[in-house]
Amino acid sequence: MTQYGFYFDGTRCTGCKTCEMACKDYKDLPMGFAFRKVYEVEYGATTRDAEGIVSTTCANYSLSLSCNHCDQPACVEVCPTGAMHKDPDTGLVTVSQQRCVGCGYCHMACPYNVPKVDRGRGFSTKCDGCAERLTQGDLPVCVGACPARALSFGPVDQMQKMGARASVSPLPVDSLTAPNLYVHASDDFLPAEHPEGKVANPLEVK
Amino acid sequence: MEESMGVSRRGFVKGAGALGALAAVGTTAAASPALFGAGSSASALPEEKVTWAHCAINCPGRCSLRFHVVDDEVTWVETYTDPTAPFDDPQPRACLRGRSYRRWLASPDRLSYPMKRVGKRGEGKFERISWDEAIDLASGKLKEVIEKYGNEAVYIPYATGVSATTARPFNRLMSLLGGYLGFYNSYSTAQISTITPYMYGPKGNTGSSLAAAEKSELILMFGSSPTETRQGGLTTHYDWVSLREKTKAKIYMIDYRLNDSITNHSTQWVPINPGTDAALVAGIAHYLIKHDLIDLDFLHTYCVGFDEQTMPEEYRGKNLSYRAYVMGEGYDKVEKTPQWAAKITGISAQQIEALAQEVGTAKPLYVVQGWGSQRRSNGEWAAWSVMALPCLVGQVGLEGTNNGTREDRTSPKSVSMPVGKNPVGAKIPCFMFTDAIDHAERMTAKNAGVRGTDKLNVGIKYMINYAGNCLTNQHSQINLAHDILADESKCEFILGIDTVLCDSLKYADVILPDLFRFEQTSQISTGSDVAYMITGTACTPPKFERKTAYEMASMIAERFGVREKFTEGKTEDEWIEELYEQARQQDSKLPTWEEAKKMGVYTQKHAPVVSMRKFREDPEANALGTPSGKIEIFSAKLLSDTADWEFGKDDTLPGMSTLLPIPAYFPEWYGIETTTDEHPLLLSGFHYRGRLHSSWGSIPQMKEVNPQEAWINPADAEPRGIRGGDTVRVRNEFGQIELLAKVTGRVVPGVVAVSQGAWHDADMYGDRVDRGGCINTLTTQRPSPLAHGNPQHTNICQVERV
Amino acid sequence: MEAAFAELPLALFTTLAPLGAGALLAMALVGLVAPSALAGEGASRALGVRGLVALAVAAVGFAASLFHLATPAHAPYVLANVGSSPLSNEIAAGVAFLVVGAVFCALLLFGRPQVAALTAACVVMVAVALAFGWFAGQAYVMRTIASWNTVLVPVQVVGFMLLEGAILAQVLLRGGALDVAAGDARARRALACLVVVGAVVGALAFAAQVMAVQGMVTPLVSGAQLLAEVGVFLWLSVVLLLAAGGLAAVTALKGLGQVPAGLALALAVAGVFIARLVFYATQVSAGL
Ligand SMILES: Nc1nc2c(c(=O)[nH]1)N[C@H]1C(S)=C(S)[C@@H](COP(=O)(O)OP(=O)(O)OC[C@H]3O[C@@H](n4cnc5c(=O)[nH]c(N)nc54)[C@H](O)[C@@H]3O)O[C@H]1N2
Ligand SMILES: Nc1nc2c(c(=O)[nH]1)N[C@H]1C(S)=C(S)[C@@H](COP(=O)(O)OP(=O)(O)OC[C@H]3O[C@@H](n4cnc5c(=O)[nH]c(N)nc54)[C@H](O)[C@@H]3O)O[C@H]1N2
Ligand code: SF4
Ligand code: SF4
Ligand code: SF4
Ligand code: SF4
Ligand code: SF4
Ligand SMILES: [Mo]
Repeated sequence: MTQYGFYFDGTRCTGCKTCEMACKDYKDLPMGFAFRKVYEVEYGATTRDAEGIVSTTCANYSLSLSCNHCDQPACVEVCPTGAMHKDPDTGLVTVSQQRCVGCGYCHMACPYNVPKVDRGRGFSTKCDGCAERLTQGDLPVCVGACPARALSFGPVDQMQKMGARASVSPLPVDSLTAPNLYVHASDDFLPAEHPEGKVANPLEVK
Repeated sequence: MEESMGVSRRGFVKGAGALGALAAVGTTAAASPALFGAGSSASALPEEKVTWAHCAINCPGRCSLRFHVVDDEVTWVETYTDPTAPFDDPQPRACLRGRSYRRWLASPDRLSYPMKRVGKRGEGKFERISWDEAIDLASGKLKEVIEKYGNEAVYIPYATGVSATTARPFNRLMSLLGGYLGFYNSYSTAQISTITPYMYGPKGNTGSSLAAAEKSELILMFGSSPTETRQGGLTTHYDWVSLREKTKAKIYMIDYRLNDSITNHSTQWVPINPGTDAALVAGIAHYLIKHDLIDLDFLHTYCVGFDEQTMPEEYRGKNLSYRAYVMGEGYDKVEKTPQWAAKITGISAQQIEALAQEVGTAKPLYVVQGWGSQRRSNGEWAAWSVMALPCLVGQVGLEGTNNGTREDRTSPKSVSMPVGKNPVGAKIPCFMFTDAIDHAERMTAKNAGVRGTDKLNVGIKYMINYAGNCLTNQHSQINLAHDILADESKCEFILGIDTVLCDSLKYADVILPDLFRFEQTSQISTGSDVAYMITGTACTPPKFERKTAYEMASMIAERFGVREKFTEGKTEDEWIEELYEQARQQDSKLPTWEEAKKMGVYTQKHAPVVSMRKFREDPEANALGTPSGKIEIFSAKLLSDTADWEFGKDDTLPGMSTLLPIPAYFPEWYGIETTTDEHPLLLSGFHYRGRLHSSWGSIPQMKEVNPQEAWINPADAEPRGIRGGDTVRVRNEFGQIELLAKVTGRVVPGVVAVSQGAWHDADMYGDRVDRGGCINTLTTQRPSPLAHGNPQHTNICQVERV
Repeated sequence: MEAAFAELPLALFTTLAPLGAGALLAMALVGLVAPSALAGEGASRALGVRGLVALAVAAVGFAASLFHLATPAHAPYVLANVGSSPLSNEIAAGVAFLVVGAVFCALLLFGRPQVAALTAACVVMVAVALAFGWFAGQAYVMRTIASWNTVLVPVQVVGFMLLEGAILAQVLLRGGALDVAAGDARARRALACLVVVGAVVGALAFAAQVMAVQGMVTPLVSGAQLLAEVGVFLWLSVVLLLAAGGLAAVTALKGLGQVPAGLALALAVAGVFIARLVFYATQVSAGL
């Protein structure tokens, strides 16, 4: 099997959300759904002293996240129907609409908050790595959308050369599900589980 | 100029085998399509058509779009992209907004038929009418107004929704009909564009390319967020990311908020109080002078007004030089020490000194500004100060430097449809059109910057508002704008042309439904470090009763019997092609029309531009267009031009009777030094990634992930009991808005930041509380002193939890 | 509690299915400890009928769970991952319970079970009901959900099941040919025992599990804050559970009338239902 995965360059990303909206358009997602979400982490403070002088320790960074097509996918583990499955050839984790019962356990279990049941359509939805494009030799829509060229996709041995397996806040430690997301972190990044690593834009990643 | 058509020729890579490894994926997945969920449905669809287009909004990106169309319905919007291309391969990829056009073009709120107003102005009540009736109404009233008041009563307001080579049909039309009241300035750059010619002369004053900064040692960026305001994949967003990666220079971003261009690189942020950039520069200048880090040779050879030695004759011996100002010998007689600057800017004296030390020693130094620090009540002087900074240390006209203006952008040759000569000479500053509706008779050259005539003869009685939301939403003091526009005895008729019922259109008497530029043939040239041109064709035939603006203008021309003159017998497509041929005559390397249409995207690479290089090489032979031919740090012309002007309170330093002829600091009207007990916080705007001004402001999918928020520091939020996500009310003497709170250390304490452009949403015949969170409910219509420009970032406010 | 109400069908399911299952468990236990009380065709039939009522309550719970599914038509697939998916396990246990429960009732209704056969049937019924309760709780134990990844989760569900089930059994096993609760002392002691054990184990396991959320934080949520929002409900449900247990123990031992037993049942069901909502409201992921 050749496991495929994403690469994300935190030194290039500007948090612009083009990846997210391009995916939303291509996948024709309804309101309330996004297969890729851009998280913002902020820490430190900007303060003003009695003399009016401003000082700052504030830092922030953005991280664009879709499904990581994990090696130990929690979503697959809990799925009762086998709808959520990992492709034996590509390692992509996708939902079979014909099987999915829409129980939402994958949504509960995924520590990346990725799958979400679309009750209107009756099944769990999530990033499928643009599998249908891969069959035509194309790359995922999000990757080709990024104006800052912060995203790549391909066999993980190639992604590994550019970044380290994601273990950065606000994501959980990589040992949990072994995500196939490789990250080139900027100096602002905090390690996973850092107490100061808080999502600063919760309204935008609901 | 280096030419690179390779990229364009390669065109769109689809299954080009570039992904060798993925071919294997292909086979497996194809063999078991069910595994990939819905993918299999694609094969069942009827044939897909793909068209090129460009984003035509007022954004320098003008990025490429690729419309995927099935059965005359757009299924998704792509862009020019080859995801496997190396980083340096130029690709004008569209931003999140471009990629969301489908939501707008197919929006249920899209205008589809001509309409006439049936409610009060601003109420938003309209009734469908026929094209004939619409054109009759619009033309009939236009005739009447011209006959009764003359052509000066007709106005085409500042409106930026469409950019293309044929985007100004109504100006052309009005030129043929006897003319119209003109405007000068823009809402974008009124202050900086007005001050720059005083300093650098009217021509050749543009900045260096961003790529030129690769070679510098220190980059100072004032009031700019290139990744937010130029978001595409081949505009400054990309250039900025690329520069940051390539340069060894240290970068400082001076902004009152940690903007998105700093995100991921937070150490680059120098937080500053809004409206105080001039004070920072003065503080730095003081240190440079004290520590002998000034480039006196440069200042004496290339500039006037730094010190007595180069002051114009008649101003010598009066302590009117910039040096005298800084050292406390002239003007306000206050020494501009770093300690002085610290109190105003909020930047500590030590930090100012350290910054000054770096500015004085780093070579090359690249100083650049956006337009955020100039869209202010003292913006002319803020912009001027930032431009003066590199001059103080002689870092202008050399490799790796910039002249302190905004970074240069290049663009392939292009020719626009002639708008004709406007027989009416009178012009107003675009920001003052509501004054010209309300009290034109009181507006003169001396009190309102009227040009081409001493005073206006008649108020604005007829407006053609095409592709703009500047009547209310993007203008200022919306409640006042409403009162002026709602009075039908003042401006008697407003023709509105748009794609959606934006707030401004609610004041229109007749509305015409436009086609987007990607629903017709269209061409545009643009670029930044790399130049590019996009040629597009219609993605779908016109739907409902929508028409092109060119057609609309032709129909009105017809009623006046000038259709032939207007069209010159050409269709718009023929115009575009012909204009392009004219451009090709000036640049033979441009592809043929047919090639251009086919490739969609054409790019040209350039060597980085260094601003004012020639002037630096030989200042005599290449003298500037200023009175002295040199860089004017003191401008006698500014004094003489404004000698008998009437000024408002606080338009200059206290005690002075003229405007400031040097790049000095004076407090904003509504600024850090002028808050009140009632309105103790500053309120400033910025341009938001989720909209282009108000465009996309009504698209639910965009609003969902780009919420309208008031940024507020925890130090200001906590005492007010405000938590992130709460609904807050921001108010001042001009009105009230409601929006969500973003409690964040990304904004300096004492300042509330509200992104401009949200859709105004108030019952204007009721409580007028704007629940859309449009900052222009809270901005003033008072123009800035010299440019008569929009000081929309200069505001004070109070905030409370709702 | 917003998150909790989104899980309303699940809360109903995990309240009602264990209620019915627990009642059958309690009836079977009565059959074990007081076989003489069931001697005679009339008594065994009566038990069968009441067993069916309990089974129906459980079935209503299962039916409610279908509302939780986006495509109930695909429900048969949920058994696909028995062994690996905790949800498959739960459903498998649930189906086993329904089948065994139905057979158990049928046996009582139509068979003439000998004491030995009856005992065996009762043992199986108790075991299968217990297993269902356990796996119903276990369905939430996922390694990526920090707040639920504890044995206290199945323990609390089993506790709830015993408490509410035994009270329902007490209510059902009254009157007519079979007034076990009024008659046999051993049966009454057994029921009292069940409610006390159920109330104490359920309430303690529940409170301990939810309180542990206090110290959990993720980049998105703070357990302390979640807890602050639901604290009142947490303690309300604990009080209800203990009160129901106490009251039911007294009614069982003293053989009091239907009204206090019914009141105990109402308290227990309300307590369990609120506990379930609190449980869903305090989900804390190991990640986002
Ligand atoms: N407070 C504050 N106010 C500001 C600013 C600020 O910084 N702060 N910035 C100012 C600046 S720099 C500017 S440039 C102005 C911009 O102000 P506007 O020029 O009013 O820009 P938009 O709000 O984008 O409005 C463009 C309109 O064009 C319409 N449109 C888009 N495409 C088409 C089309 O194809 N055909 C037609 N007919 N219509 C179309 C859109 O629906 C929209 O209503 O705002 C100014 N206002
Ligand atoms: N996404 C998006 N892009 C746009 C637009 C849009 O609406 N949305 N509008 C387009 C148009 S027409 C224009 S004119 C340009 C506008 O481009 P700009 O005028 O450059 O944009 P602004 O966001 O107003 O200001 C840039 C930065 O200056 C900061 N700033 C504001 N006041 C001060 C100050 O006093 N001092 C300092 N040092 N910094 C300050 C702001 O916080 C902001 O980060 O953007 C264009 N691009
Ligand atoms: S498109 Fe690129 S730069 Fe923008 S948020 Fe996504 S990854 Fe970041
Ligand atoms: S990111 Fe979540 S949904 Fe995707 S494979 Fe990993 S666990 Fe499953
Ligand atoms: S919602 Fe569908 S994919 Fe997710 S766990 Fe349930 S059955 Fe599996
Ligand atoms: S790979 Fe495809 S589905 Fe997944 S986030 Fe990117 S565009 Fe969306
Ligand atoms: S960057 Fe500007 S021009 Fe490009 S797609 Fe976005 S809004 Fe349009
Ligand atoms: Mo602008």
